[in-house]
Parts: sequence; C-alpha cells; structure tokens
Amino acid sequence: MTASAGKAPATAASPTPEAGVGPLQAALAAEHAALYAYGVVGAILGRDEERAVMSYDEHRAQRDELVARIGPAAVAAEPAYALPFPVTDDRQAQRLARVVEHRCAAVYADVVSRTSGAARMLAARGLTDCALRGLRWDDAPEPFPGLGSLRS
Amino acid sequence: MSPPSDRMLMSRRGLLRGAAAAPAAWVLAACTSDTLNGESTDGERAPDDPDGELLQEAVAVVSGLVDLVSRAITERPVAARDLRALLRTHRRHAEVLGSARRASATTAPTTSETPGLPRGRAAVLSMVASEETRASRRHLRHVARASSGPFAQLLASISAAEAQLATTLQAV
Repeated sequence: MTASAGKAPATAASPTPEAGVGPLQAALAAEHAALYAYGVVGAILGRDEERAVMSYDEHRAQRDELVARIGPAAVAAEPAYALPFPVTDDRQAQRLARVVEHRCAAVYADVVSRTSGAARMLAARGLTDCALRGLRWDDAPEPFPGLGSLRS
Repeated sequence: MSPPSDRMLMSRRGLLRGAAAAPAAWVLAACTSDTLNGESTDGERAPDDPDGELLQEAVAVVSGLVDLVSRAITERPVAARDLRALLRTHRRHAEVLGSARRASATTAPTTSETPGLPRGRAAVLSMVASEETRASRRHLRHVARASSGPFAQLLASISAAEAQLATTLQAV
C-alpha cells in the first residue's frame, strides 16, 4: 500500500508513511471544521459574498472526496466548533477565513508526511488549494505554506 | 542518506501526531518546524539516500527560478518591484533544500537552462508566472516520488508556495 513497502527504512529516525486512509481522517476533521467556520463567515458577509460561497463549495467538495476515499469509517462532523475569536463583523469574518485556510494547510502538510500514493497527492493538492484560497482572503504569499515556523 | 528534513522534522511530526488525533481542527497544535533550521549531522543517516536524486532535481528547479527572477530584476527594472518578494521566497527554498543537499552529500545539480526574457513588464511577469506554475507542477510530481514523508511534505509546501506566486503575478 505504501510507496516504501518492501524497502528497508532509510534511517532509524525516518518516519515511514502510513498505510491506508487513517491519516486522511485528520484532513476530514479539518474540513468539517472549515465548513462550520465558512458557515459563520458567509452569515456575516452575506450570501452575495462570492469568496465565501466559492470557498465553502470548494471545502465541501474536498470533504466529499475525503469521505468517499475513507469510506464508512469517516469521522463525522462535531455538532459545533469553538471559534478562535469572536466573529461579529466583516473584518473578523475575513480574518477567520484566513485562519481556517492556515490551519487546514497545516493539517494537509502533516497528512502529506504521513501518507503515500494517492492519499499523499490528495493531501498535497489540498495544501495548495488552502494556500491559494488564503490569497483570496488577502493573505500574503508565504515561503512555506502549511509549515508555520519556516515562514520567515 | 536522507534529506535532513527527515530527521529535523521528527519533533514536529511527533507534535502533529498527537494533534491529528484531536476531534476538531480548532484544537490542532500549531505547525512548528522549529528544528528545521538546526544543524544536521550525517551520523544518523544510512549511506544510501533513496531521495538523493529527487533532491538534486528539486534543487535544480529552485535554482532555475532563482536565476530567472534574479535576471529579470536586473535586466527588466520595470518589473523589479513585483519580483523582489519572489526572489526572497525562492532563495529561502534554495537555502532549505541546499542545506539538505549538503547534508546528504549529493553532487551539485546540473545548471538548468533559464528562458529568455521578453521586453515589457506585463510580458515578463506573465512569463515568470508560467515558470512558477511549471515549477509547482514539477515539485508536485516530486512529492509523489519521495520515499521520505517529511521530504514529501517540504516539497508539497514549496509547490504550494510557487502556486501562490504564480497566482499573485497573474493578478498584477
């Protein structure tokens, strides 16, 4: 299942990508949270806010792809999520969207390191999608999306 | 030998392993590659580096972008303002990948050919954007081939950064 199956590990310290879809559960949990957050963003910005609608639709498509890949064991969404700060105006809603994309990017980056094959590529594309959506919310490009402290 | 990202990202990976088990993304720990800037040693690495060739290819792609953007800034001053941030990003990529290459003791990559520069600002930016997209796709293909998970992670992040830069240039 993994790309490294049958090979000796490169080093004793090298983590080997995991088999199966287990690591994708973290990405799915992040997508559930992102959809909840974009529900809030959309409610604040209004249904005419095209960026919110596009972002919501893209996260929903990604969630559906993850659910299809994981199968019956797919984690369910929580009933509610604690937002990282109060969101009561447009500026805060846009900030929340940026935070969502940063956090999802970090999750996808982690999933890339823990998977191989199709699951890894799904995560890598998810990472890029988050990075590009961040720009939509006026985020600046960064040298290492998903790898926070390498930013400087 | 494996790229240093292997060993240096271990502590980060350990952190995120725990975080990934949390029930919701809001409680995920911050992504902290705090050890990536540390000095690595070769002592813990196996003599055969399954990603050595891939690392050389990745370095060559980034070096090509550094050369291209440097040349565009020098030879097309009208576009320099738009390109300086890109150059910083590519140099950072080269720095991280270059230290990986030194640590893994692979040979220097072959110098990649950089395309000729068009005249006007818009044309230069459009050309650089195309090269960013091309590099992003190449690094994404590298992600698929990497044996090391943390090295794949680094390449995926670089690919995402290049996609961001292409999009930013296309919006200018």
